Amino acid sequence: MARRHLAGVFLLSLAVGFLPGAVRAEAPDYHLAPEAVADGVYVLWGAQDALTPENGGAIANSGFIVGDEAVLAIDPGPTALFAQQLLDTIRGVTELPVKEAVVTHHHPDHAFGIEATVEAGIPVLMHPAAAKLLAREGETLLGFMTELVGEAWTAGTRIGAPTLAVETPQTIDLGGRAITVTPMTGGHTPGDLIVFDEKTRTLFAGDLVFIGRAATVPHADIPTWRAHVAALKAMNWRELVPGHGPLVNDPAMLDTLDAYLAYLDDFARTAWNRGDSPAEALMEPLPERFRGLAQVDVEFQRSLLSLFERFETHPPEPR
Amino acid sequence: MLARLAIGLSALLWMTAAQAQQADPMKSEMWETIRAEHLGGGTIAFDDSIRLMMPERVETAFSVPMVAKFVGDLHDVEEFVVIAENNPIQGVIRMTPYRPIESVGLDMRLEQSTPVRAAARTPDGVWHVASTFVTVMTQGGCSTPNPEGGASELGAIAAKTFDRVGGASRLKFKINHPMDTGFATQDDGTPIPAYYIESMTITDDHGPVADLHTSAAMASDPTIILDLPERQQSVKIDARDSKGLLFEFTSNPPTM
Ligand SMILES: [Zn+2]
Repeated sequence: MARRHLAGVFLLSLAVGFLPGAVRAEAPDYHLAPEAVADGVYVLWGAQDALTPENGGAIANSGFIVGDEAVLAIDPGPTALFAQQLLDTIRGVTELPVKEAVVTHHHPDHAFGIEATVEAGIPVLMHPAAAKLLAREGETLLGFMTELVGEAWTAGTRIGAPTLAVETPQTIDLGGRAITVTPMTGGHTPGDLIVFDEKTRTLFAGDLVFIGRAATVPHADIPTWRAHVAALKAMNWRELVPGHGPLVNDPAMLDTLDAYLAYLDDFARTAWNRGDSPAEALMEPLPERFRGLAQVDVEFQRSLLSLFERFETHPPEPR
Repeated sequence: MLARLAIGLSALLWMTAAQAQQADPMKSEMWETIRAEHLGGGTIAFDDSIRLMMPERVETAFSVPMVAKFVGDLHDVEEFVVIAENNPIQGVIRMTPYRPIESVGLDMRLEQSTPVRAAARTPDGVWHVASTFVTVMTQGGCSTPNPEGGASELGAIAAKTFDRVGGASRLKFKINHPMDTGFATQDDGTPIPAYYIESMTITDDHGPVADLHTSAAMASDPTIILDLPERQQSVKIDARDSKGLLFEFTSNPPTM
């Protein structure tokens, strides 16, 4: 009800804008505040929240890395407006050109700024499997986004296509700074990329890592994801920027994510194999150690429903 | 608004304690209409006889799971109905059980956020009603075309039985059918006519289990769950759709 009402308010403010002489409704502002987490490495922290009219969909972490000659942007965010404001923010930090933008995967909170980035003349890198999913599901997901955050934020956002496909590890030279973009696929989604800055050993892990927030699994293969988490823990980074949540400086901070994924996977298989409806399985209380995760009530329910839907066609192995 | 409130308050004052229990816990303005249309205006008990389980919040609502568990001594059910109040098709299922049933489960469409009611009538004529509210994030579970589903044959039924705790047996089956509501249109604006399973009869080696009258408010390719207190040896499901097509499933007799 509240959401409908808010949508109505947005429509009204747009209508007022068209009246001659009326004060035009102001475009909303993400108020992006980049934080330097390492020398030349900046992060724009997303809200640990659902998609709401207050946050405009800015719930994931984005970032940029500044070399001697150029800048690399990471995840142009949930809307065209976000992507434009991200580019403005970068211009406020450095005069160097943005050479390329990497999109870690196709989910709306990371990828809906693609079209605006391409329009700004910046090549966009993405895994081809992610590009395919974006083309297939983008319009529907944009409908969701608009419904949840309101048209004021999503106005002008179109589902774009990336310009460059990354299927094997690639190095981007920003001038005195080599950035490696590596596919780590089939876990969180079929097309995830991770971004590593050799100079400061900072790793942008995208949504392969959620800290303090319940992970999203609608496109996930959980066993593969857990193998990727183990691999990420063993990598030589000093600081890791997760897709959601605060900066990671200790591999042990990934343990809750791994435990949550293991629990979800096991719980869903067990419930399916004893013939439960998801409606019943959802009634079981969540273990204490996961209750503090942001959005866990919503995400656990969503995850269980999507896992059960998949089991319909791909039944899990009994354990 | 004020006048209605005043009437509401005075009505409340005149109620006896027993009658006060009949107040709709969902406080739905539509309740009296629903009661008249779907429950024949019968006596209502909003009690704990049914445990109604559904997700609190769903993103899309083409297929929302529900389980109603009859608890305590509510085993002598003559009629069982499920109603989604804010749907263009409110009645989801009307079931006549021939034997004690412990739980009923199904997948339903929800057009928008709505109270959902599960009601069971006992031989004394009382409807025991459980209610829950489901928030739907994206509207249109009844009025937009089905998301692309499996390519299985129309009317194909897959069934499985599970041993449940306490010696109960669960029959879980899925029937492939579009269950079109008649409220959706294709991309080019062509209406998709109503086409759905109208009735199902379930029989096992002990005799008839239940008759189900179903509507297009059930999800496409719905899964249906029935829990019986005793183990089932063999199951037969007969379904009939709105074009008169008949579909049948018979489980293999046990090989002991
Ligand atoms: Zn994300």
